Amino acid sequence: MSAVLMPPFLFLYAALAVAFVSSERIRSLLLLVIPVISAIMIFSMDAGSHVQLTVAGFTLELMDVDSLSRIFGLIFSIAAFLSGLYAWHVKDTMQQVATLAYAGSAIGGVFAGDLLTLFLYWEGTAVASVFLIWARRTEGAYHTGIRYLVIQVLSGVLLLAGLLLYYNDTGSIEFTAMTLGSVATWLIFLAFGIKCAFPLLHNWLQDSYPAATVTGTVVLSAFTTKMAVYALARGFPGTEILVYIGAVMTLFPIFFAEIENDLRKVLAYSLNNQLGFMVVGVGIGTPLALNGTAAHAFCHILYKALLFMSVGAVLYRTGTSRASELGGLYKTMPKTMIFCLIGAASISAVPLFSGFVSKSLILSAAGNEGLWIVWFALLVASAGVLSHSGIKIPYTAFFAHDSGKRPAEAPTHMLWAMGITAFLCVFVGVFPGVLYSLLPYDVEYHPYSFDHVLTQMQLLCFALLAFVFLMRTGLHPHEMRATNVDSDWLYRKALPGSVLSLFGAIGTGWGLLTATLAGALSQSSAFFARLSQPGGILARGWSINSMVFIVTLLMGMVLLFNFGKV
Amino acid sequence: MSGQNTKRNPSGNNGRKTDNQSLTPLAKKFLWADEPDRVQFAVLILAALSIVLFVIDLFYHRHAYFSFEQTSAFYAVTGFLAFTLIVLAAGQLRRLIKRPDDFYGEYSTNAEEYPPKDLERLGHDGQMDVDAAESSDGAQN
Repeated sequence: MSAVLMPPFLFLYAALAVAFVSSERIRSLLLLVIPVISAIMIFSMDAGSHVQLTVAGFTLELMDVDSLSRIFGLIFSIAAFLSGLYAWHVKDTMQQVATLAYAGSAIGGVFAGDLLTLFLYWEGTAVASVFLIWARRTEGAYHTGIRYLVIQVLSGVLLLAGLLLYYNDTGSIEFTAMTLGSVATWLIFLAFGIKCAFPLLHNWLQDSYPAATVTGTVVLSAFTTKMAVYALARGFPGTEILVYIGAVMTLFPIFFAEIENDLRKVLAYSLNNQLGFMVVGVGIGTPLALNGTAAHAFCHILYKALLFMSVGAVLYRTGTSRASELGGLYKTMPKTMIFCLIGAASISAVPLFSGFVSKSLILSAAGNEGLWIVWFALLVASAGVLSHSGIKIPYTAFFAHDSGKRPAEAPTHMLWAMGITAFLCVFVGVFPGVLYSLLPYDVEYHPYSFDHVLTQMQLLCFALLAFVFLMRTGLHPHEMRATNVDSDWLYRKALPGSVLSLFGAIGTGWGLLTATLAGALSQSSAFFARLSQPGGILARGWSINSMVFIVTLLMGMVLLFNFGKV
Repeated sequence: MSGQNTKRNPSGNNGRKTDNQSLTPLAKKFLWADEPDRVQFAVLILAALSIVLFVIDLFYHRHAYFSFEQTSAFYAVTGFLAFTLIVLAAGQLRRLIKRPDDFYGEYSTNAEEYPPKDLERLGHDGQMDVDAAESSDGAQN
């Protein structure tokens, strides 16, 4: 393979070209053609092929293809194509450049054979993707973008610090499986954890993705977090703590998603929950579990993009993605509604849809290892997924109470993008063997056993009954406009608030101190002025006797102090 | 059926009557979703399916990873309870974390409207006005 024509570089060349090409058609075409070429190249690459570059004594593994990086590179290329098609109408050069550079960096990241190369692409994704948020060009988007960039770059800085220490410890920067223990590996782990939206490090995701443009959110949903999942799978497979981190990740975002009003934010929380399943898979670390992580990342990118596309189409046509302002759109956007339902069925792991054939690999792996608490947590989380992504998204947007909005159907290119994505979701669900053949390890697995279909249908049907029950009894929370604070409250309100009040307190204290000192100073100077003014003690004529007495006294004191020193 | 539907068109869409006849054939296939009787029928089908699945579980010996998993109706009970408890717990969580829309002010996109220049707001009959209720919407918010 030629170093000049590697897939990540193709994207970067195209990003550069798009910046200077004035023809809108050619720019939009490049966003479609490059991902297709990249997908074909990656598909035809053999595991083991690599590209090296020697810089200043360092051998950088620019491209290191194995079966794990291959499937991630492939799905990233597919996601780039689908989001390019969805964004066919976008004329904004900034977004087009950002999309290409972002996709290229993400693909470069998964093929990086050493930590330094990974770091470069890691920062590349951060810098490129923020423009998809800024492209909204509002005050709120500007501030959100800054917050996003600070956190993303922080992750990169931690990675850099980690890799330098790691090089110091081991003498190698090869990106391979590591064991947690040293400061270096913990720093790298933390850097991955931020981008992977670990609990309490997660809030950048829900903050920024709904703030991006209609098409930008679709692009964002595919790359950053899955690159982090890949990095964990490559760097920390079988690390036990990941099992528990992942289990918590599958559970807590559910509650936030349930009450969130902005449907794009609901999907961001749901994305976080899906990452949890993948992280559990990495933590278990068996071939079956890692296959599950890779398969779930593949399927998840597709159905999550599909859901973001359908909500994006609604936003594009109606001007809002707030559940409280939507409803009844099935009447005039039936195709978008059907695609949304396919995405919802896929994420809910309904048999014959993609989530069913990928999520079960992870649950089976947890079962095989006897991790019953984690297994049960994933099962509960699966019911939660049905609630916020399977039901809430399509129900509040397209059914529920009639909002009176009668928007036109989504534009043709968006329908094509959604249609192809929906087709892939169903295709993978019906023919899982195609996906399984791309997985990193050879494992026999049959998702369509009678037991599996039966248990999953029981879980879903009774969860649906619970939904009916909650709606009929009025116990289901209503959709309402609100800001639901999350851990971001800490750094957006509490911390700035306390820093400001600390500064305020310091300011007040300083003022008080200087005022007191100034008062004391002016009082004492007035005192001395009185002493030396005409008629004052110091201005009086003194007798020689008393002068000699004072001088003797002073000299005696000097003698005394010096005597003490000897 | 459709005549009845137009008559009691609920919708709170401020007097804008929807002519269901103008919908595409695809959309018409889903009109049952607005008719309580037919929604009730769909719920009954779901209930029937659930009962069948429940009964199968009483007689069929499943393969299982864990002993507790083999309890009859384990998945049915888990599905129902997990869903219910999650939704109820979320309702309680809302009381704790709910703040006004503009809590973060201009530092967030939460309260702002999406910039219209990037959108193509289009009514299904080709008019630019997606919702006739637009102005009164604005007054409400």
